Amino acid sequence: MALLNTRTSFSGGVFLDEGKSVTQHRPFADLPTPERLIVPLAQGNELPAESCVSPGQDLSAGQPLAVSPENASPRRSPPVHAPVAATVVDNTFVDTPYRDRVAAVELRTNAGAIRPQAGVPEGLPAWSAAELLQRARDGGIALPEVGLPGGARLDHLIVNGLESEPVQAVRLRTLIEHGQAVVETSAWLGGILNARRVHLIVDRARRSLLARLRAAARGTPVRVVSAPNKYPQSFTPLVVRAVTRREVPCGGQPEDIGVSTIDVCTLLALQQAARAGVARTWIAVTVAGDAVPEPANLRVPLGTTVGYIARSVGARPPWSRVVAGNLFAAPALRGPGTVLTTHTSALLFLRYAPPAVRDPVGCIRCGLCQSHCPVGIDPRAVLDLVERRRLDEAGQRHPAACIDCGLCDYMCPSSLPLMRAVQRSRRHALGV
Amino acid sequence: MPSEFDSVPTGGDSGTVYPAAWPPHIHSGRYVERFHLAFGLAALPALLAGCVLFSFRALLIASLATASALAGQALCQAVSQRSAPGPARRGEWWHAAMLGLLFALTLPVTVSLPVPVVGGFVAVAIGKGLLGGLGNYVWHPALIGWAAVHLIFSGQVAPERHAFLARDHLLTGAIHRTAPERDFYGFAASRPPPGREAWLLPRPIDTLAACYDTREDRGVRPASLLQLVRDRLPPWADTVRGHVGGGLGETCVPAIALGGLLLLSGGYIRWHVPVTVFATVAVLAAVWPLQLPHAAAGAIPGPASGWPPVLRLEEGIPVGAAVVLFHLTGGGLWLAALLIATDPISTPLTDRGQWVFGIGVGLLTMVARCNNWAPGLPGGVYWAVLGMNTLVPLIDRCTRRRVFGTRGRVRRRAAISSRRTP
Repeated sequence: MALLNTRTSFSGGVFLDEGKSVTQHRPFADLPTPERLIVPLAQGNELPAESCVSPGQDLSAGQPLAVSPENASPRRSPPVHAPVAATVVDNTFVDTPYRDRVAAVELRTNAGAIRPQAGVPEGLPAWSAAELLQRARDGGIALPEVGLPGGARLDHLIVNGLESEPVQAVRLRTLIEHGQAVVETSAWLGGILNARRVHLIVDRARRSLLARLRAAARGTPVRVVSAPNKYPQSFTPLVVRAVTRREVPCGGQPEDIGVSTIDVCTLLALQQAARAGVARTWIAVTVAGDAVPEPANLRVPLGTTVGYIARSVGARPPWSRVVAGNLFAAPALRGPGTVLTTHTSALLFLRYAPPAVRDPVGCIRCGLCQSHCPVGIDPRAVLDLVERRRLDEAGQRHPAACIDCGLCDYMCPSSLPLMRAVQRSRRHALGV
Repeated sequence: MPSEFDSVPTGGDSGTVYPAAWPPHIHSGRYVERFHLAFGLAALPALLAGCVLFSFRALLIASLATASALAGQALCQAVSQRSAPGPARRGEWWHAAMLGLLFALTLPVTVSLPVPVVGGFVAVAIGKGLLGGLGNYVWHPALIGWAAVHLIFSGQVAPERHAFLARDHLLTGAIHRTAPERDFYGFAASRPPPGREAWLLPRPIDTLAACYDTREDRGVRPASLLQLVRDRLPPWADTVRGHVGGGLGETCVPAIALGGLLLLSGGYIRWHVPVTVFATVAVLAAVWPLQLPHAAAGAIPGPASGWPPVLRLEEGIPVGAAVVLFHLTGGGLWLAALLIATDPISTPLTDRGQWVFGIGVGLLTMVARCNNWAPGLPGGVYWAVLGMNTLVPLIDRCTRRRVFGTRGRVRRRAAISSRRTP
């Protein structure tokens, strides 16, 4: 079948036991609001926003905690807002899964504070593209800048509903619970960005979901497409290729080839920001793993610590590792004080013996790393060159195309640190 | 790191630190030692078949080869004072044992006892240890061992006639009490004279080579293909079941196929090499011109002219197709294509490279078998694998995968992402 699927699929990758048999059936639930929140002012690796609150200040839900200056660099985080009504304790620092010691604001929440509900749906506003980008940024959502007047026309807007990472099911649940809203918002966003075509891509195996979405998309410009959910099909460059047959240039962005992508969770947050002016302060996250008795899909306020989530879901230590996100590539968390950000979509408490803690041994040239690489890098050769300090030569093997899926490490019989070597040479090649 | 962490407010959780771990947090489970173990296990059905077809002496030969291969490994580790860490250390021993076993499968059961001892030792100590070590050797070590004993003991490793047990004497018969060829009419149909328990026959592939030979002084050439297939070759089913002469593990096709399927289903080998080897041999055998008198020389291609040979009919019997089948099963092709040429270390990395490698092995095999100056080169398929092993670095260099997003003409749009809001 893999041969027949090459039109929408890619060469390499692996069909996994997804481990979603439980999580996919758990509807989203709100976590009880913790007494303390430590809201990070940067969601990923970007520069943090600047705090605009002082200790003792009372905040209402959705009030800005940190601002991003006008004309800030795109590498600066958009503004951050208070998830619930709270009092500021202090400006401080916190670990996120992606960065240590990020500037943060510590809050004491008011008793009985709950998630602010989106107001009465009043239809989606008719914004211009520039207005949309500004409003989204004000709502804590950084969108790539496309569809602006004077810019090149956007050929394809792709809404990514695929979720090939094991265990996590937040995109799937979003599609199941809010499919209609996703389709409507996709059409609305495509209209504002003046996209020639709007696609919603969904796992091919979810037939009933596909049928419902297709029915919802009838009469709208949204085209619902499907792809086999082979890992790592849900990664942006592979989604772009599956839908458009175009390849994101090595080291480039989808926007370079007239394509823009957005995942369904961000799209729904955008819809909330547009309809009700609710900033993105709540995170949808799958909490699972063999140390969690009842896996769940939760909405948690920004700034919730991992320790609080562990106690709330009854995760039972000892565990061998706690992973925020993709089991193939995400680093293990350092401690219960880490807080989740909007980039996080899974939190896994794992008890099993760590399989990959094995000393690397010599390569046996099995070729599994490069034959499974979804972008065609030869990680073994890159590792060899990196180990011999020939980084310029390693750069000629196009490490910038790497999408950090971690399949090479997963396949390697010799437990070699292939992904780290590719990332090392990518940093060298891109000069960062 | 912990001190930096302690300064972070953790909401009552300070002091606890989660265990450190690097991704990946899951693994396919195909570790190196399992690779070597899988190849060793895949060779076992062929060894068992060898015991049945060629008596228990096959087990003796294989044990000697394996033991001496392990001795070679011990010597290498003692000299280099190095071994892999952790569970992979077991893998090195399994790899050595697997090489000894694979080497033993290529030997006729009648070889004298020094042959497996010398070959197993050479395979591991020289073929693997001295020629690069695990992961770096160019030529398959088992074939290095085979080539060594082939040169040293050529009369024993590649004799003109090979022995195999006769009907009713399988497993327990005495392989040296052989009966002559003239009493043999196929394994099922003939019984040896009293007191004899085995047959002594040329390998089918050597017999077949006669119809490609143009030299005058090379014995009696068959008058026609029908005479060759009907009178001088064993029934084809015998070559599939393995009731023919040959190496102790290279004749029984179902046993080798079982081992190959084990490897394929476990994901330890890819299908590209075996399939291309078989396909190339079949295609070339179908078109390689026979050096036999045929009906109408110079006529248009077709059954009447004798070319292509695969279409040849004699007395209504598709003898040309039979030739193709004998090429596929009459020699060591199955063992080489499934268990030896698929060795990960000495084969190309990419799928395309494996296609090239497999085609090359098939081509060289047919050249060794069917050339008209010295056809029937003993162990042609092994020489072919060794030859293609030599080309692997070149093949790897020429068959790299194209990296995503590096197509010659990338449709580059204006770099919108770098444009600022007007």
